[in-house]
Amino acid sequence: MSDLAFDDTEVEEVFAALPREDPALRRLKSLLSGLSEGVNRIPSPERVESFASVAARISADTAGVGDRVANSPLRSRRMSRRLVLPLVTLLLLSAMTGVGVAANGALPGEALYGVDLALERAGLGAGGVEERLDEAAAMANRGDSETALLHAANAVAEGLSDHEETETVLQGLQTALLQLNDLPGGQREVTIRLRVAEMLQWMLDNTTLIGDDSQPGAFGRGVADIARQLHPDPEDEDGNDDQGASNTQDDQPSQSSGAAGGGPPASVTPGGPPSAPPVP
Amino acid sequence: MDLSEHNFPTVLAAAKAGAEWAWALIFRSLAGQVSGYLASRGTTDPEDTASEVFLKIARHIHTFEGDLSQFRSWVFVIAHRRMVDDRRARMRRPSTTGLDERLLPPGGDVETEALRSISDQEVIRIFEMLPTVQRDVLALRVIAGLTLTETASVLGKRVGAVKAAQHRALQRLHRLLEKASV
Repeated sequence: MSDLAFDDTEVEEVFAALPREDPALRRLKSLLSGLSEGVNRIPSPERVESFASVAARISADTAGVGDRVANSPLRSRRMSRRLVLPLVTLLLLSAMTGVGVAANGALPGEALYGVDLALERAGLGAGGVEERLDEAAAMANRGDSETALLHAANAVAEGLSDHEETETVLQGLQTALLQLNDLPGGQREVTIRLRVAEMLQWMLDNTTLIGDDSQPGAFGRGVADIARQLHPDPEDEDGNDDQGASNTQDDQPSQSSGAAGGGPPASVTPGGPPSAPPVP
Repeated sequence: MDLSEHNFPTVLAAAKAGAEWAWALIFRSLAGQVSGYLASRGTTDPEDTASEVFLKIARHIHTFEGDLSQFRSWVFVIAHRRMVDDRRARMRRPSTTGLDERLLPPGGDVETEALRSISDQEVIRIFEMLPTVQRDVLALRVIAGLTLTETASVLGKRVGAVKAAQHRALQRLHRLLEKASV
C-alpha cells in the first residue's frame, strides 16, 4: 500500500476479492470522497489576509524580541491568567491605598522601605516606564498578552507619580485583563490580542502625556477608553471590524473613575487624539 | 497555490522572519484541511478552532525545524490535540449533535439521490460507528490528506499500526454499508 495521500488504490487493495461493481464498494468510495470534498473549506481571502497579518507580527516579534526582554523579570515566567489578574488587582489596590507609590523613594528605617527594595530587586526600580512599556508591547506582539499587561501594570505602578492617574491606568489594564479572562476563542481571540498589543503600543507612544499638566489625566483616560473597546463586535468576526477605527468622539462618554474631568481622550490635542487602534 | 509548489525551506524561513506572504500561503494551504479534519471529528466550532491552531503555530514557529511533511505532521498534531480537548469537553456536556451535515457528500441530482439505497444520514451514522482510532485514521488520511507516515506521527503510533487500523476501518465500513443496503 502506497504512502501517498489516500486514493482509490488503497480501497481496491483492501477489497481485491470483490467485484468492481460491488454496490457497497462504490458507496464506500463515494462516502470517502464525500468526506474529503464536503468538509474541506478553503478560507476566504479576507480571512487569509487577517490571519497572515497577525501571524507575521507574532512570529517577527518572537524572532527579534529575545534580547529586549532578556532582562525582564517576567521573561522566564509564563503567567497564567489566574495569577496575572490578582497581581494586577494587588497593584491597583496598592495604588488606591497609596502603598506602592509611597514605597518608591522610601528611606531605610521607614515602614515601606522593604516594599521599595522588593520592587528594585524585581528590576522595576530602574529602566523607566518607557522601557518597560516597550518590553510589554513586544510581549503582546508575540501573543503573550497576559504577561505583557502585568509588565505594563508593574511599570505604571512604579513609574507614575500621580496617584489618581496611576489608579486609572491600572483600572484600564485590569479591564483589559478581564476581557482576556473571557476569550471567545478563534478569530475573535486573535482580534483581542492584537488590540491589546496596539493598546500597549499606544501607551508607549504617548508617555509624554504622563505628568503633562496641560492635560491632566489624559494618559489614564486614554488607556481606560481603549481597554473598554478591546472586545470585537460579534457581528464583525471576519476581521472587517471598523469599530476600532472610529474616532473616540463617536464613542460613549468616558466613564473612567478617579480621573479629573472624565472627558473622552479626543480632548487631548498635542499629537492628535488618542483614537482607538485600527483593527486589521 | 499550495505549499508543495514552493520551496518549503524558503517559506519556513520567511514565516519565521514575519513575512505575511509566507503566513498567507501556509494558512491558505492548510486551514481548509485542518477545519475539515476538526469538523469530521465533531469539534464544536471547527473554523474558529482552526484559527486557534494556527495562532499557536505562529507563536511556536521558531521551535520547528523540518521539511514539509514534518511540518504538516506538526500542524495536525496540534489540531489533533485540540480536537481531543474539545471531545473531552463535549463528553462532559451531553449533546445530541453528531457529525455536521456539512459532511454529506456533494448532492447529486434528484434521480441519483433516489437510486441510492441508503441515505446520506445513514452514511454519516455508519462512519460514526467506527471505533475512535479508526475514525481518526480515516479522517487524517482521507480528509486531511496525510500520508501513512504523517498520520502515524500525528497519532503517536507506528506506521504498521496505522496501516492496520486503516485496513480494519475500510473493511468495517464496507460491512456496515452492506448491512445498511439490505
